Amino acid sequence: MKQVMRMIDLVRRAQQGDGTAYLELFQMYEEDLYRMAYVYLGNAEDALDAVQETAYRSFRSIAKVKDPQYFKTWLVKIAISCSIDQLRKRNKEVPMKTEYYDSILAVDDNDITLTISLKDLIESLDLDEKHVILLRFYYDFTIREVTEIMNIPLGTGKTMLYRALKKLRKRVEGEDIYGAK
Amino acid sequence: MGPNKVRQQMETIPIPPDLRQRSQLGIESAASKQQEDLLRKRKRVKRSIGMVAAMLAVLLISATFINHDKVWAALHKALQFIPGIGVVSEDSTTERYVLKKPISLSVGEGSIIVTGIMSDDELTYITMTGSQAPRPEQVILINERGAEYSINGSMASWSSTEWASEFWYKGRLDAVGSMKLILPVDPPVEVPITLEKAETFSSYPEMGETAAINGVSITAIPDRVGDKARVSLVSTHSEDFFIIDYGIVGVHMHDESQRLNVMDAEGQKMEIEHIQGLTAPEGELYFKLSGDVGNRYTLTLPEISVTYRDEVTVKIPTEAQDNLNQTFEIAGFPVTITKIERVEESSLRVHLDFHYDDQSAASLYNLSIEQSNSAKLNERTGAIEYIEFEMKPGAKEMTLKFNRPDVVIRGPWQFEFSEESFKANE
Repeated sequence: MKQVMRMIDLVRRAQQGDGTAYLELFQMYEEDLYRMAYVYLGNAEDALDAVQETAYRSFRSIAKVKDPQYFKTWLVKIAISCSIDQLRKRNKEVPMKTEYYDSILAVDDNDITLTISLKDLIESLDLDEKHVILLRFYYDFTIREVTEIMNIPLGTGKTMLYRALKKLRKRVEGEDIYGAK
Repeated sequence: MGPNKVRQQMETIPIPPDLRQRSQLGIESAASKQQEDLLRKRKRVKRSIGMVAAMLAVLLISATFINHDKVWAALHKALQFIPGIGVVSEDSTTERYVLKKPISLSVGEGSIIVTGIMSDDELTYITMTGSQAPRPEQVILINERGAEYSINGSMASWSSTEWASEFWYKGRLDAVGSMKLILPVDPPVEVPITLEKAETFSSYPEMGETAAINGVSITAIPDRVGDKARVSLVSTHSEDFFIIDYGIVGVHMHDESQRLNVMDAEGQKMEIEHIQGLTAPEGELYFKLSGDVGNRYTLTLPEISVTYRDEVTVKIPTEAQDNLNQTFEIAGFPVTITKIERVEESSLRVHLDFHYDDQSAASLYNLSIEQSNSAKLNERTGAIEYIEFEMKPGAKEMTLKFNRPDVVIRGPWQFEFSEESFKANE
């Protein structure tokens, strides 16, 4: 509760142009935003660019946040949009980098259907599926909130989530059969 | 799949050491861009009146458009003007101490100006600007009895060379007598200050010459700082809008003659200086006095800019249409969407007619929309001719939310001063 109050106070101050307050506020979320951008973009440099752009765009338009309680939701939306823009820009210019391959970790869980890797998250899902998975499971938004953020009907969101989960399960099973990492 | 698995995997992504620096860079660029906009696009940092009201109990008086009587009647209350901060407090029962003149300090290669200080039973509030000088995040005030108070920054805007900051302390700190203000920058700056009791006035005209035109009553308060005249502008008007510019910078693209100006008795235009603070409008201007006792000066505000607190949502088709002529109203001004064009595959250009009329009491010239956009302005009036923005692919119609309508209100508000007027408060 105290943290929420602090967050609301910082939003209000940032809305009055206080850059220091906004930096403090943004830093509460920057690691999450970076990791999310990383899943979209697959490498550290592009993910950092996306975070920097998110900081820039969000401070430019902080005055538009009407209800500071929903600041996080608003910020995540901007971060997604920055990652997508970065992706578009990058896809025109350079091929996908592969540095993330090294960071795949095994999960010590006997239930193969519960085992996913970073590689699965990055490689097997399309953009919409990444949105839905990250928002639902990384940010813990409800599926209704996810669909509101994505501006899609609830039914579509549920279908996307189902499809994404199915893809991840299939992929993990496939990797198991073929002895992939 | 459990949600913890996604989280677990995400948490394996290492955080690079320069993440924090990159966030800071993004925010600093945004702040810097904001400053550029201030200077180049003549836009202002608009501060919520609500916050000012809460902190300083700013007097806001409702007045109907072109209803002078009501404005004047409401003005006859006890008032205190806070110099440098540019507000008028209606609550004159409180003992309030103010910094009567700004203090200029040389810091390293640059300078800092303490533009205003106000202290009463409930709070102490300090405003400062800096140029090529470090920006303190807090200041220390030591009162006459030696009690030391740290006062934190509450708001700031900065570019690579200029900054403006505000500091406030909640509670009483006995800011009477000879005090010291310490700016903990490198090297630290110590400045002696003495606050004086704020004068109480029974009306705006008692503070300075007052002119009421088209629903906006403006008072020009004369004062003297060294060999310069200082004029502080304060105003009363409807709560439906707030003033963003007294014409010091002027409406983008409007003729130079529409800017605020000061002429001496011989019709010579005086060179005006102003300090860019955090809050809009800039309400303080300085010009050099001639020293000739018989000299007279005329301050003219040909027009001012205000922003209305209004918004309107409009649905528009995304197909190109040559003769759409869809009209909506914002802040009482009609706006016609005359034409819609598709620019490239995913951009929409919406042509607007603001029905701008130079001869009317007020004209709408700018609007904001929520989407990032670019706009073409009329080269003479500065009114938007069209706005262009990205549209959602495949959408048949779009909902646009227009807000923050900027309106120019025409005067002129005119004020006459003698050289003597600027000695009154010395």
